[in-house]
Amino acid sequence: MACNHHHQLYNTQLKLLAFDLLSLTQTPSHSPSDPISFSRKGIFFFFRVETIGTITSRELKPNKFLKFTIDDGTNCIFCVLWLNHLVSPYFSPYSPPSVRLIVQMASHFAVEVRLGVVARVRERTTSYLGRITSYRGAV
Amino acid sequence: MESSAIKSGALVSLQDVHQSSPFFKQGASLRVTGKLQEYSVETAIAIVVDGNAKLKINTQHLRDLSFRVGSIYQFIGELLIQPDDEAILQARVGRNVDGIDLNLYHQSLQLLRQFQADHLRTT
Repeated sequence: MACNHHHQLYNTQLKLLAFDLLSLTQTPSHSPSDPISFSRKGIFFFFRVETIGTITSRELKPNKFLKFTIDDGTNCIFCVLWLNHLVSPYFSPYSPPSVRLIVQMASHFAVEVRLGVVARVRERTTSYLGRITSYRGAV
Repeated sequence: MESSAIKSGALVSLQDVHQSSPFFKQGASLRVTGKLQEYSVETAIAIVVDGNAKLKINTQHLRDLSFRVGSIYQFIGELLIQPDDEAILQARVGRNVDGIDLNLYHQSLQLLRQFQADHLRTT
């Protein structure tokens, strides 16, 4: 929806507690090309968030993804850090040096994600198997 | 939206973990913070204190965490209440938080609870 894209919070990394993030409602998209967006109390539209908490689970599939959860004491956020950039068609339009940089950064974050570590996660929010998910997050 | 299968550890101070507290429930997921008073390598049981309050922590599932008496630690885990009403936190996550200002931390817990209560009232 064009009005979503031009909303002042569209490109803002909104800092949210986990319980607040999980209370977001996914707004219905009008076409498949529309990015996923969420509303809060029926007012805001955005999908870039930032949250911080302790890593309480970690599941690594090498060269595919790292799934982990962040617990900030108000709830847990399920996160996915993609590690499949070299084989994903999503990155095929990007130049190889750019993709290699992204791979290096993601690999670095994957090592940093350890149980008990406090992490700040930024990036897009989407839903996965019915759960609100932060993904491609910077840690 | 369904929340994650892993339960969130409610933020509590050690003073909140007593028999008449709403947090004192079998299996309750909690996050506690306190100074390490004792640690047994044989049993992996740690005792943390905060003022007059103390709590036993079972650390057998924790890896890569070294214990030093006098340091401050934070644990997330589930409360196991034994038949004699003694509580032990079965820790699944732990970290050293030396340098934390516990008074400020307690104040932030109060503010967070107030924020959550206000949020629930307005939604």
